[in-house]
Amino acid sequence: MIEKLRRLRRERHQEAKAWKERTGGKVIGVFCCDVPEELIYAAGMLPVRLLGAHEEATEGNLHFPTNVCPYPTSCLDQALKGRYDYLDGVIVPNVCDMVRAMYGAWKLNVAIPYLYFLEVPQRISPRGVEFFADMLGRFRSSLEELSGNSMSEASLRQAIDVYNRNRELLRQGCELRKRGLISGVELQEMVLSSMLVPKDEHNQLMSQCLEEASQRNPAGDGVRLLVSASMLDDTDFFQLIEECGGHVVADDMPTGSRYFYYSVDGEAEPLQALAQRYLAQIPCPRKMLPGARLQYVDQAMSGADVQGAIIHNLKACDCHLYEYPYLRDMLEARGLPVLFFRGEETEAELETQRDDIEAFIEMIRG
Amino acid sequence: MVTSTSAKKHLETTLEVPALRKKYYAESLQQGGGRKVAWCSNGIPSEILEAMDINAVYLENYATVCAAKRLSSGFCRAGERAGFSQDVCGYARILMGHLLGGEEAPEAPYGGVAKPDFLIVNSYSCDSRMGWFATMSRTLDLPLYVLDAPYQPQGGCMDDINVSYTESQLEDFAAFLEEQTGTELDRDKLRRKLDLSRRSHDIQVEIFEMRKAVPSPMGAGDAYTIVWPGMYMAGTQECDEFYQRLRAEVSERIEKKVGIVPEEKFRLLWSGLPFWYNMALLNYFEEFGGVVAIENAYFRYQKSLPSQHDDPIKDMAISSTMRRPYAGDIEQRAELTRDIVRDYHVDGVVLAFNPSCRLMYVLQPELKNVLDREGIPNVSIECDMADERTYSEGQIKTRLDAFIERMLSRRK
Amino acid sequence: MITAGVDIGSATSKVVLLKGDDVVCHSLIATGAESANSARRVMDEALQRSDLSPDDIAYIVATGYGRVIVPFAQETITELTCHARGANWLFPSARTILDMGGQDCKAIRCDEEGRLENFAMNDKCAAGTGRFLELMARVLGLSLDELGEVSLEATSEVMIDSTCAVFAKSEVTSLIREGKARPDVLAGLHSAIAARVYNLLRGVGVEPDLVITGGIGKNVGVVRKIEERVGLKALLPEEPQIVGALGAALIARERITAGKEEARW
Repeated sequence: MIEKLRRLRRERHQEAKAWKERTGGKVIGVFCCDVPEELIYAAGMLPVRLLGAHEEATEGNLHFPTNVCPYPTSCLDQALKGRYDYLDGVIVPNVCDMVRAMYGAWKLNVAIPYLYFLEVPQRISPRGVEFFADMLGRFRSSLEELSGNSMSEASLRQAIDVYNRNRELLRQGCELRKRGLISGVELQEMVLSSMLVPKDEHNQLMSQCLEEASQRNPAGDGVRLLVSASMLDDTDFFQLIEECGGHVVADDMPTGSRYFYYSVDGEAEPLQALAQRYLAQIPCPRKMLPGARLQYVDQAMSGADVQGAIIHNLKACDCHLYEYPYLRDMLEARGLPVLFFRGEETEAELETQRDDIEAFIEMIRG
Repeated sequence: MVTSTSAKKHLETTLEVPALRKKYYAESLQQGGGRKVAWCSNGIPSEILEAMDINAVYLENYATVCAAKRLSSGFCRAGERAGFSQDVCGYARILMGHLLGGEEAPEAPYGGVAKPDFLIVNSYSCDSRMGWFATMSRTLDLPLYVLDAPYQPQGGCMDDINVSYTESQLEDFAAFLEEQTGTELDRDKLRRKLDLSRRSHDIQVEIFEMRKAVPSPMGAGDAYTIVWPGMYMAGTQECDEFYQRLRAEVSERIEKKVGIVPEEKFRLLWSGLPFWYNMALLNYFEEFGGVVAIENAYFRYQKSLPSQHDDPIKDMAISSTMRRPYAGDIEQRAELTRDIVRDYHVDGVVLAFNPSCRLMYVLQPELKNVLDREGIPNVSIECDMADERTYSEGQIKTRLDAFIERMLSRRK
Repeated sequence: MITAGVDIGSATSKVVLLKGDDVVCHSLIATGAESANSARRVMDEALQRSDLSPDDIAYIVATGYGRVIVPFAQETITELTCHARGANWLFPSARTILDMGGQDCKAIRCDEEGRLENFAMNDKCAAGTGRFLELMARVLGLSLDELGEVSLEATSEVMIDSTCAVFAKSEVTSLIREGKARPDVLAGLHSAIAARVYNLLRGVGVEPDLVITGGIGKNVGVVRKIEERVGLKALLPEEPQIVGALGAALIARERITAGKEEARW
């Protein structure tokens, strides 16, 4: 089952093109967790998360310096290499300096029929939620125009339901991961594939996966780890951890629990509910101040019986780097050893990380 | 290592600034009279703070002072010792080093900065300051106010929803200040401050206009100094009068055709921040007849809007949604750069890549691409704007020398 | 009338003595730790070889990173301008120059008269420099001179991921340990270098003809990989390391010919 999800991720470009042919619908590329995909889904389009590739960004590096966060550069690089030619549009939210700069570079250098900058407040407040709801109203109108479909309140509620169901299933996956019935790599394949395939289809796949997993015997004696990362685009890093004898039982990352931990309020007015969840309940360090964010990490670890933590921040990510000392202090205060990596999103670094992870795990084993 | 430091000043009025700055910092250290002290990031509107008699300390400027006084290495090391990566903003590391002290931290210029009662950061300039101010707030255990406003890559649109949100945040900000100080915001006083700062802003815009003249009446060496009162004393009589005197001097120089060099052979635009510990680079070209006629970092080119509303907060909301200096994506920056090159008769552009000022840093390669496509000569130099340990004299000078050689040998 | 160009680089120091359109002689020595006196030494060697005395030299231009410490030079010009001039003089069709030196790598664009138009430098990291290849040669148990020829024996190319010297060293070491053939590993290394310098070249735009200068220009393996990447046959000077000094000597000649003050651009 996991193999199927892995294939969906690895062959995501072909899959998206096949979906287009099958349905005649539009595929919309999305950055970061801040974009309410439900709106895209409700418009009858397929939202796909743009992920970095672990290869040298030969084209991207002509537009960005090399010592900045490599994730947006990698995405731009793939676009310039034509891998994203099938996209009918790209949504860039107001997330951080690099992503904003990438919006500009995309506009100048990539031919795309629809490029939308989604204004997101940079401060979490009730008034901010209202403002964001207004912005989502505009976004909705724009999507309606792009798709040629109008979005009724009912269709929006339906989309929210489908997405909430997916979040619930992924949370169940989290629980199974704590109990050793699903590995860290497996849950990551679930999350990543969720970002790439139609949500209703993914719900079916998830149900099957969880069904299968609950029949298993719990896995053995991996060292139980929390992984906190700024961005992991694939499962290579988790794979490495498992090869070294670690078992990721809790995570704090955008391609992990931050994506699904909180659901949208199904009772409230849809745009308000989306604004509330997407602004106030994504524990991204750019917006969420350290106090609230560390509480979130604490919650993510509860019941997971964590023995150690690995923090993986892509280089030059200010948002994560400033918080690193606090996160590290909090974890160490709980008696957890911490291993820190400054990531570059290359293949080569994985091998050098192996030694460190092996030693770290051995040390925890004692 | 860095051999020379301050920029040569060509104008008389520029020489007034050091005394003003010293006085500002000295006054800020006097906490008598119950004035509350706010640590602020650049972009926090000083008019409100002035109207509430709050002692505002703009930290980034203090970092540039530390850098200019050649103290960045020690402070940065102290900041890094506390766990702050070398990747992060040089200003932040310097201030954290100053705040946390330790054996690496040198003696603080001007006797240090006044201890804060609260901190204020704006969310819409760069990522780094959010992290940095949150860090200080935790370390000092003091309240932090985050002033938010829409980002708008369209460069500001006067749109009800955006204005309404901006206004709500400014009101919320005012309420926070009222709570912290125990006094009410005097809106009449604020209106008067806004009028004053509008006027000195407009004078600065005029001065920028005047700098289009050939020969250049005032170059970047002076410009980076005279920008100071407008940034940190906006809304005061002193600031207003300073710019009036400056305008008069620039005007006179234009009339008498007094330039910065005896014979102007080439004019440059400095794109990005200068290296605060080596401002003399701005004068480096003068020996060869080159002038840095204009810089884009604090460029003011739009006159103030007349007052948009009786309520000064609403007025600010409307004006600020229309003008955001760091907003605008690369296309807008590129357009602005093209305009500057054309209007200021620029022959070449110096692209100063400051890795730790990521906001500007990420835009420079694409800006370079635009300049290359349009055949505008340019040179790239790279080091931190505040942390002098990153400066490599040989490498920087080689690039600048080659660029000078190119400027001098170009076909006219 | 004889002019001289002195190029003090991080690894080697060079002198070219120019009389009219002829290179009277050139000399090359290792700069060594005391770069201050390497200028004197390399000049003395050139004078000795050509049986000339310092008085015979009408004008001297110094270039290279050590140009400011050549006390007997009349003028200093950056190696960027000098390489443009020198390469274009050797090959009048030259418009793009790739100089791969000991410690840095430069991409240079010039016009039809060898005037510097644009440049990009990579002096922040070792990739594509002599230093890097020296390290790799040591790891592979070969001499620097052998690298090119050995790489041509490759039957297949091993993919090298990293051009960062730190990572590459361990990567190459483990590949050899795994039993990969040295030529194949070298071919991969050279490819990786070519990819890196290609990016540098793209920063200035590649216009034919392309000239490769600097010590690495003698490494036929790297040259071939670069040619493949760029899609152009590169023009190679017989003495790739003296092009900077040659350019300096040419500029010195211009000074004298046009009268010193006027010719100052």
